Amino acid sequence: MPDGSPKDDVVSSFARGLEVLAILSGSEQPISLAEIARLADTTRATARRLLLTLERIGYVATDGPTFWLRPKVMELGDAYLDGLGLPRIAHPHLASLAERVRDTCSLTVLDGDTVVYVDRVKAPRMMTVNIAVGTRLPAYAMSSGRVLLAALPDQELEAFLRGLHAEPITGRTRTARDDVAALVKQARKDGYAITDQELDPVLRSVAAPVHGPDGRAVGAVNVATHVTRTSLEQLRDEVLPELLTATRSIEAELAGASSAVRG
Amino acid sequence: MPEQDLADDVGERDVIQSLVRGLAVVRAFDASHAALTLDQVAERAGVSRSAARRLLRTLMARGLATFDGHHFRLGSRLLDLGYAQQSRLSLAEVAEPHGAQLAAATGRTVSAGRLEGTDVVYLVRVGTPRLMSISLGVGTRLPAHLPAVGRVQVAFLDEPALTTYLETAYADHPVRTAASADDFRAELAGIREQGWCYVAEEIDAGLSAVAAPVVDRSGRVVAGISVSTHADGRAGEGELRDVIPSLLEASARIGADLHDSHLS
Repeated sequence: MPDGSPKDDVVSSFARGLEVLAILSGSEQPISLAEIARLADTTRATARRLLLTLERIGYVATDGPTFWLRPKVMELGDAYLDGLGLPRIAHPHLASLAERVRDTCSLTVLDGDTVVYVDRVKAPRMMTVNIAVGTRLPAYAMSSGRVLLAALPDQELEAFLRGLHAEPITGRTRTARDDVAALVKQARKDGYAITDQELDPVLRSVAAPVHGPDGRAVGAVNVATHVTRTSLEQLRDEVLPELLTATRSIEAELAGASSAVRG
Repeated sequence: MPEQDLADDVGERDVIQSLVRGLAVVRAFDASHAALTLDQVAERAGVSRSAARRLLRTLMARGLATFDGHHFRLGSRLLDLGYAQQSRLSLAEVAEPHGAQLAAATGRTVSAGRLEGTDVVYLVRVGTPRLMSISLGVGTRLPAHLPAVGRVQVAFLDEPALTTYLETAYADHPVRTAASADDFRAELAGIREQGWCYVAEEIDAGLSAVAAPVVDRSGRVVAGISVSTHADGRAGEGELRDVIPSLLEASARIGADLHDSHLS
């Protein structure tokens, strides 16, 4: 097809292959060929060829009747994460933070109205929050979400608030537009945000933004703690200072990396 | 390997080339190529410019890529394609299906374990005869050099770590088959050379095993996998040697599946 051809279409078999990956991704159990064909809205013959192609690449495994994903599929997400660059720079700082506060520490970015986990380090103890990289959660209910929303230009923040239809996730989730606006404003003033059992009834979380060399927030780091172990006072007085030390170290490294590139 | 079997029975005509090419377009992006022009994508993915454009438009239609007028970038929605599901797995969960397959193929007990300090900790244990299932269960710790599954990892320790190991854990539990620590060091060098090890009756009379290292994508030995037998006495060695090709294949498959997130 010559450049600029009017038939500049999408490739339907690629789109269907991506759909099959999304279907397998959404299931904790192996799925049958017939079920995949039904969910992908295609024929069994096409679904079979898509699955066999994915198996050949190493993304899918099968025992004959059913199919499931293999870890090699993670190279697709890694292509995004590697390009983002931030997780690689932040990771050692997240690890030392997790070591000091002994709770799970995560790096997140904002994507529209959701917060996406792009790195996490589990704490060196048994009972710990296990949120996987790639998890998406609603920004309005998260400490990370509030500091990332706080960093948006006013116009974008207003657009977010106008479009907000927040559902209560726990009995404590703040969902009213004015409440969310006030909490985001507070996060902007404080430089951090705390959520108390708003996302999960056993979790308290504190987050701080990570600024790039141009002053824009490129992500946020949060520490998720168990309500029975960490009081709100401890979160603010003991965990927050450690968190801010970590985010400042990441920022210093980002600034260093950028001036090294310029120099 | 399954991929090989599949290639044989599926044949090129069943492979959907545009899916293969589309996924190659995603992999054209990496740490030093986070933002690419259309020409760069085409070149790096090995596809024509017009094919690259259509494949990128397909990604954009699903919210998996963005275009700013000059450069294409990948989007965080790519993490929805199995990343969260697969990154949540532990090393044991990644190794288990391969261990089960090896146990079924050989009719023997398969174990996987990783080093913690100077111990090997069993993570996977499959195909155990019912009457013997109590010994060496998952979670069992042993001085690493005693069972094959740990010794094969000790063999790949770097020089300072190996010297420390020989002076401490080995000195506390010297093996019957080596006259001195230097002898044992020579045995480990031989294991490193051949890429697998055989250990007979070190833990229990009649218990023998062959083990191979599990090497991750960065080339580090991160675990070991073994096939063991309770055959009478030394009769095991010849039989166990026959399973070495399958053992090495299984360890390679585990290594290919492992990601850094499974190790933390």
